[in-house]
Amino acid sequence: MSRTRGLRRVRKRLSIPLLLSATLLIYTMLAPAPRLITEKAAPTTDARIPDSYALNVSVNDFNEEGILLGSTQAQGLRRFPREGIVELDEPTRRNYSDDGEWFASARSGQLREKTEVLILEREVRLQYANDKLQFLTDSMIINIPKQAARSTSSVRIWQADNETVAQQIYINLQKQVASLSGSVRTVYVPDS
Amino acid sequence: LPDDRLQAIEITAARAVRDERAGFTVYSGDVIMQQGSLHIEADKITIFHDSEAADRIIAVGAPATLRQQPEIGKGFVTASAGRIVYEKSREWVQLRESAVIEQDGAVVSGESIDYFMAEQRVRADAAPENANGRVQVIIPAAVIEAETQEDEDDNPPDKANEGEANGDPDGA
Repeated sequence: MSRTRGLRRVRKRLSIPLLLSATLLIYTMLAPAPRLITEKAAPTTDARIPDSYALNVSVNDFNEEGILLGSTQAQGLRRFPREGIVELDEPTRRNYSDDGEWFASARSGQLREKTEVLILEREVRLQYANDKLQFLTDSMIINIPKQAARSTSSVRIWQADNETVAQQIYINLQKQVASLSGSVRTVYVPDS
Repeated sequence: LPDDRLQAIEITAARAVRDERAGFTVYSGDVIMQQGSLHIEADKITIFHDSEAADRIIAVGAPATLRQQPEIGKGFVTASAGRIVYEKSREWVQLRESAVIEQDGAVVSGESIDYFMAEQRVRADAAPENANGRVQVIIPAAVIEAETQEDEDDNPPDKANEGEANGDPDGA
């Protein structure tokens, strides 16, 4: 008696999934084919179109008395007046002043026209003209009017064979004083 | 070690200010300087690099400490002072302000101590302006015995002296 009741329970248990899969099958055959959600093109904003661009550029700037303050060269220049930005490829900046010249170069840069802040990126090198000292880093911000440079990515300083590394640096370009912080380490190699 | 001064100098610190025109760099914050076996720890170290080769080094601390092994196999010389000046090319260390220098238990202390590394010679002075300033030298007994033994080995007393030593004036 209990055996037939067991069989009847198994038959009932099997029929539910069968019923479900049958209804699913019928639905998929009758339902319309799902439409692929087409990727709507992002609203086109104006691609950043420079107002003007130039190649192999050299720009000199003078003060009121006509004294040369500095010169900026770049292989490529793109100007975006609305953003007040000039983008530079392979920029170099040479700065002349009574306090001493300095020279900076990088793979790319950006000049903020209003503040004359120069942001240099990738293989940045800064050097005092009268010195073999070099500051090497990945990014540096130079405030030209204030004659100050700052980097928050690790910096390496070379002078002859002596090397210093630090995590941050602030340089007073006028006084030629560099303040380093963050795991400062220097190796002075004796004269051979 | 004798060739310490030919080794590279390595300095680590939390901060540093490098003044190009003045020709020095000031390191501050847990400053450690290492050159061969010479090891200096201080709150602040100033290094003069006008000739690119760092030659004159001033360490200031509370106190600044110095440790160096004069020769292979010899005990370390350890020193401390409020101010340590190390002239690399002359291998000369000047310890000022509560200066103490110690080697193998022998301790010399005073206001001003000069340590000549090449000759391993120490000269200590009391503070000139302090009338009752004193120089203190502590040499452990063991060191004294060892040295007198060495003296005897180097120059054994000859026969004449021996006679006198035994109370016989003719030394017969």
